[in-house]
Amino acid sequence: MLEVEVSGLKFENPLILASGVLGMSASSMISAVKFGAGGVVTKSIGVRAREGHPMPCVVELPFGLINAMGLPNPGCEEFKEEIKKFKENCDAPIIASIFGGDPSEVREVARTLRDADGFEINVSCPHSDVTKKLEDDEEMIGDIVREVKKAVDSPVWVKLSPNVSSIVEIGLAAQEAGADAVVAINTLRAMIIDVETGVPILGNRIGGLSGSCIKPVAVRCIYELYETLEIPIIGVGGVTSWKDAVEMMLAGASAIEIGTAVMKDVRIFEKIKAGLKEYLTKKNLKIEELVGRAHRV
Amino acid sequence: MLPRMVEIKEIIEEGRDAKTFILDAPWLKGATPGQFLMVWIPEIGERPMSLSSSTSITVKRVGRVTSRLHDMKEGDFIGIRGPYGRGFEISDGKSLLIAGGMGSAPLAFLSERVNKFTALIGARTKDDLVLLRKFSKGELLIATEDGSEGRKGFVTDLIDEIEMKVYDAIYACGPDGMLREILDRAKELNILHKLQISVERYFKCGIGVCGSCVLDPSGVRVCKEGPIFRGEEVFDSEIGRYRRDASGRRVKYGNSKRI
Ligand SMILES: Cc1cc2nc3c(=O)[nH]c(=O)nc-3n(C[C@H](O)[C@H](O)[C@H](O)COP(=O)(O)OP(=O)(O)OC[C@H]3O[C@@H](n4cnc5c(N)ncnc54)[C@H](O)[C@@H]3O)c2cc1C
Ligand SMILES: Cc1cc2nc3c(=O)[nH]c(=O)nc-3n(C[C@H](O)[C@H](O)[C@H](O)COP(=O)(O)O)c2cc1C
Ligand code: FES
Repeated sequence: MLEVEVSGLKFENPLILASGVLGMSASSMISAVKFGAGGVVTKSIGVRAREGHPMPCVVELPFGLINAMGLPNPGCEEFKEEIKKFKENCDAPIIASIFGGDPSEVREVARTLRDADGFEINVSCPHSDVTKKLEDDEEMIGDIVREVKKAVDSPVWVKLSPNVSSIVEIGLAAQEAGADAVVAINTLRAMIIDVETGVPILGNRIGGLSGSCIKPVAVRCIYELYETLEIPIIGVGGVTSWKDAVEMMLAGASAIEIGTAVMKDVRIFEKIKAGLKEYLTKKNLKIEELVGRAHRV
Repeated sequence: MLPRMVEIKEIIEEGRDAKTFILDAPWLKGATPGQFLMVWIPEIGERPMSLSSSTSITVKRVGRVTSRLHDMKEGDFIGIRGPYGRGFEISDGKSLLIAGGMGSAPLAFLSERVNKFTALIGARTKDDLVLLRKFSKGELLIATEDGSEGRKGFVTDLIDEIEMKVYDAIYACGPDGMLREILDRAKELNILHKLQISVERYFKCGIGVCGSCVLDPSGVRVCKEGPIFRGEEVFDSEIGRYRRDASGRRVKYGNSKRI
């Protein structure tokens, strides 16, 4: 009853592990599926290994998190193994999140990780030197999408930043370049300063805000994208309950990614699935009838 | 939680390269042995440290952040968040404590809470032994690699001098090679369920969100579901075989039992 198909990929349920939360190894992604995720997105992977930003790289707030991990990853050659291991143990789709400074770098990562069932191009991490300058560059995003589409046969999603003047313009650029779906949203650029010492807490000073506090921003972005785009939208940002998931689908999301909420409870996927089923039964709706329903009124 | 600035009330030298920092942080009183803090020196960095008592950490100087911490004075302030993670489950019976190197830190805290215990403590040399005073109320056996104190050899060699089976609970903390040997021995004796070990991995967030510390093949987060694990939970794990570095690359564990 919860099965969805997005850009040709079939998911047992619409709840997908978001990039960068646990997805550093096959084992952690397999455990997300065991706890009910319908699919997983890997940590964002680049051409070579990166250690990421200096610690502290996460600050926990009552309503969310600010992180400045800085895209740590083992590089695509080594990460190939993790995708292989995941596929040996799990039937759920695995989407490789990929990034790079220019189209040829991103293409190389995609080629190396071609065993993945799909790709999510990260042009939206707000605190990384590599992706920050891409987030608002429609032309460059278009070029990257075209290069990746040429290199792989599986679906290509583009993950959008909310830190731009018009997310719809960027979404359109991705669509025109041939993207099969967009993912909205990445974290909101944010900062926190310790008042005792006057020192910015994060090692990188600037980070990205995630968690329940960004949900209204994500819902607005998805709503706007749905009005203009023809390709599907995967919603992400602050989902912590089945109500949040329903709300995002009503705004126009065909599937949902969950990140920060996994921190407190890996079982979150099971819990949201149960709530979703109950809601659909009560309202006598099919899951695909939820998508974009708020636009009817 | 945000890092909270606390005063260093007292600093105790521990041998050559380690120091205990007693913190003015009364709210830590409820912490369980085995739990850890994320310790922040503003503008320098943040690192995970086990509690060596409910209000102290005991830190070896190894690199940038720990060196800077060693330069600090009583009355200086550091930021802490925590206590985090799952601590030891405390047994009423007879306990065996096995520590290699800085593994003495969490076990020193534990020694305050267990009744009857034997402690096997190992280090490279006499000057690397830390917190011995905390173990003196139990039976204490020492090993050093160079023989400068106690038996010459590894801490695991001391296991031959006792009978592991007779203890109701076994607690161990130290390098991966030592933990693997203890896991193997406990398995042979069919007492994995009595064993609890404290695991170290590369921590970044400390709160279960980034995936940096995850163990293969179960996918458990050391910072959240651990750092204390039961023997049977981690017997089949990567411990003693490989670990991941700050970028997530797998690094093979050497054959050396060096601590
Ligand atoms: C749960 C846990 C408890 C710990 N308890 C203690 C303790 O009680 N006393 C003690 O002296 N040390 C403890 N450590 C180890 C301590 O965190 C490292 O020695 C410290 O991080 C080194 O930092 P540095 O900047 O001085 O050295 P660096 O030069 O940055 O690193 C030197 C080595 O330290 C280790 N290290 C560095 N950063 C981290 C990190 N973020 N997470 C894990 N390891 C790291 C790596 O092996 C690295 O190669 C603990 C580690 C963990 C994971
Ligand atoms: C610790 C952490 C690391 C993240 N790493 C990545 C990443 O590598 N690539 C990416 O596209 N998004 C990354 N994100 C963003 C999430 O995938 C997600 O878009 C965002 O956090 C909003 O969703 P949430 O509120 O459910 O977490 C990260 C988020 C967090 C909290
Ligand atoms: S250190 Fe981030 S999940 Fe454990």
